[in-house]
Amino acid sequence: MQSPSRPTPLASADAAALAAHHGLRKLGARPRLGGYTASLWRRRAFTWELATSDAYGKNQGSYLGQLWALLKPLLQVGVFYLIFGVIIAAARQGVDDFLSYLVVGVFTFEFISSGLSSAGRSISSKLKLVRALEFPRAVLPISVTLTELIMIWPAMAVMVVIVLFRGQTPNWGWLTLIPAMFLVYTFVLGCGFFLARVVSATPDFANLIPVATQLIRYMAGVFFSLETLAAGRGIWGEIAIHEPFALYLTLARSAMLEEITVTSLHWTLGIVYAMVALIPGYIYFWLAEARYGRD
Amino acid sequence: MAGTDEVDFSADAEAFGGAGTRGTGSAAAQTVDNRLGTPTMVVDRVHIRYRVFGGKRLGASTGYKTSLYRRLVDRTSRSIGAVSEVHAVRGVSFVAHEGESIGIVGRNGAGKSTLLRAIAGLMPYSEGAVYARGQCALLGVNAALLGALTGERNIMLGGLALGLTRTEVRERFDAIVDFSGIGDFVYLPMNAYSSGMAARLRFAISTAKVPDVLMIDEALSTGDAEFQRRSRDKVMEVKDQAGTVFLVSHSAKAIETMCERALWLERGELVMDGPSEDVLEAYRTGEIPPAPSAGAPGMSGSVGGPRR
Repeated sequence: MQSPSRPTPLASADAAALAAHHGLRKLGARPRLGGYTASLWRRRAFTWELATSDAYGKNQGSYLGQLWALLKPLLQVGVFYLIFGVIIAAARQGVDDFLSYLVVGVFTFEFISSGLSSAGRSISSKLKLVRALEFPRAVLPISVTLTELIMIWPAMAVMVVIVLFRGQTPNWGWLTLIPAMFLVYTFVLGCGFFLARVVSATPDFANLIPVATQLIRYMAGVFFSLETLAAGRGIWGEIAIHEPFALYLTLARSAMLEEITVTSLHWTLGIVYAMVALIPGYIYFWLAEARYGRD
Repeated sequence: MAGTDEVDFSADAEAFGGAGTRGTGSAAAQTVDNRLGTPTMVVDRVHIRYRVFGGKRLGASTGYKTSLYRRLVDRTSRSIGAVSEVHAVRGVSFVAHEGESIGIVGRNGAGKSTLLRAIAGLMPYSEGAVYARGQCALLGVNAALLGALTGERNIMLGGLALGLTRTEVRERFDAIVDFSGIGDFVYLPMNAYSSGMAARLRFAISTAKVPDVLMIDEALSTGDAEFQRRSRDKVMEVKDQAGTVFLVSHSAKAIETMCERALWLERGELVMDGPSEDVLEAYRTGEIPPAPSAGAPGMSGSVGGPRR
């Protein structure tokens, strides 16, 4: 050791044996799914704090501050009403209370699109955090989608007020908005896990998410009645009505609007889609756990 | 430390030949110097490579005398599909023990900070293995903090990020505020802080929990005298609790006073490992010890560049 020479390392097998002998754990090894889920649960306070702090931080730095959480969705509804309610009046076909229909659709979809795009960037946008602290990385997609959910609640409140003013009578059915949003959240989170891994491996895909959500926005019937359009188009019409995004919009609308009715088939499909997105999405994300944070 | 382990070492020490001898599990444990404590970290041939997007392709011609066509193609290829790989750490191995403080020296871009992140479990390594005990923490860097939030909320966020519970953070709140010395500023958004105040608060938050292995990267801190004094206090605290400390510093003096052992990294390779006086003396003279028999280290077409 005294003479200047390069250190001779232990043989790999010896290093592993030495580590095992002293009960050292291997860093960067993927934890088991059960243990991973348990550590994720232990970090729930951190996940929630990160989500609320981010939501708060996003509206800071302007004179009106947190009021923007209400103003932004209101202005958005104004724009969409002008275009699809007044200028392109054909979009109103088949809907009695078009404004309510539009408001519920726009706000629900707003959460879906912002949730997907934030979740996709959740690892890359918080790379500094990933490189500074050790925690189960699944905290990030969960936390950023929670942020979007928190930020959509003021808009949801605005939505309820608008729907009230449009003459819809409050009833117990309105409460089904909560399970509907819960399913939407679960579905978005599941897709988010998938996107987060894909984007962190290949950042280029982040650019495709807005394109995809734009396409979905039109296909899912955010601004017009898909039912009216799909009538008499056979199997393709049925698919268009029952695909996940359109279905979730229908569930949310059925909660607030009396003219939209759903059956237990809609709810069953909603649950199935949410589970089919969440479970494989979570496992897919966990499989790459040891690789997040590498460039 | 466990008494049984010590017995193991002293009993087998004579029977054991030199380092590098293959052996069974218990034989491997003997390679540890019996004066030292139990190993807290074993690093085995770690390589770290990372991608850099949008850089110039390595080996692309840059001369002015090339044709216009060539230059256009080169310029385009710098922006499209240009991914270079940086091989920052090349096969580093060492064993760290309880109560040891280890300095890492090397020139800019030698891979010190990258190695530190990898052994803290924060940056995935490409090859090799890192084994560690308990929790590793990088001091003074707490990227969980948000400028738009008050210091108060940031303390909660940073504390939870370190793995404390809400109650634990509340219990330590006053101590953190006192230690940071920012007083009533804690109720203002962090954007309003001077950089010194923000650094002090970050430091105070990150020391709220004493880890098993503490990593200090002075290159990432403000590095003022105050920070160095507090780092030193923290180092003593961790060593007292039988932890291990790693220190990356540009200042050889800081390493000499705080560490008894030093690692010298040169272009991502560990060229010397020994008592800090010996290593620092060699480092000052710039004499790199020759590589063992295998010959000069191959550069294999990649560059060892600064991490950021």
